[in-house]
Amino acid sequence: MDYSSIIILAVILVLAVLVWFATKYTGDQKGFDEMQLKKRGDAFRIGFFTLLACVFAMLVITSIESVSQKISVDFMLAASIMITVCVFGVYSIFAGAFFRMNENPKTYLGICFAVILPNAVVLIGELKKSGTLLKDGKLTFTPGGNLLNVLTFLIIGIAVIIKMVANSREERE
Amino acid sequence: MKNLKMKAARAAKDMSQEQLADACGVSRQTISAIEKGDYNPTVNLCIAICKALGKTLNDLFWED
Repeated sequence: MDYSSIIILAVILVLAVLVWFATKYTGDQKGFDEMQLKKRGDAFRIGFFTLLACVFAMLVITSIESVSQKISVDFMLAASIMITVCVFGVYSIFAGAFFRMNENPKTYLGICFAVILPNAVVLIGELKKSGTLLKDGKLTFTPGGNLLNVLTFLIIGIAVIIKMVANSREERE
Repeated sequence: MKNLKMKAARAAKDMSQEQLADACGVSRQTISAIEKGDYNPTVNLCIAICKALGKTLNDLFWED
């Protein structure tokens, strides 16, 4: 039996608990005002239900044999998490609750670029080498994970840029 | 519902959303959301806004 999916899920759960403790007891929520905290709460709730929906969809998809032979469970699990990250990120960015007060959104653009660049290099390298992202006819976490990273941070980066433009337009009015 | 009274009071004091936000200790997005009627502030924030704009709660937040 392949335990890799269960191990990945367990690691994610442990990380989630650690992040929760870190934010609760280290005052990481400082720097967000009351509206931002409320909107972030909404974003976390929407993210939670998105993850539930994705996991449910994953269970349905894995039960279809023709699809499960082409996409690995690892990739689907990672895709579920990345979709959740996207939903949380984009919702809170547009709600004005992603960045702390007086925080420069350009820093996040730098982070997005720093994540996209190495992943894109690996992805392009893989495509040049084998001409496909499939390994033995199956889309797996490696290099599928690179594709997910590129897409996620590209979406978040674009959302940041749109929000920055909207903010500067609003400030001028 | 848009809070036009607050927007008018801010404009009368020649303050930008950013300046009002700094005076109240919140983000500019929060001031914008209150003015647009997208967010209902807590009483504490209402009081901070009133103090910054030199108005009363009735002046800015009471619907006639």
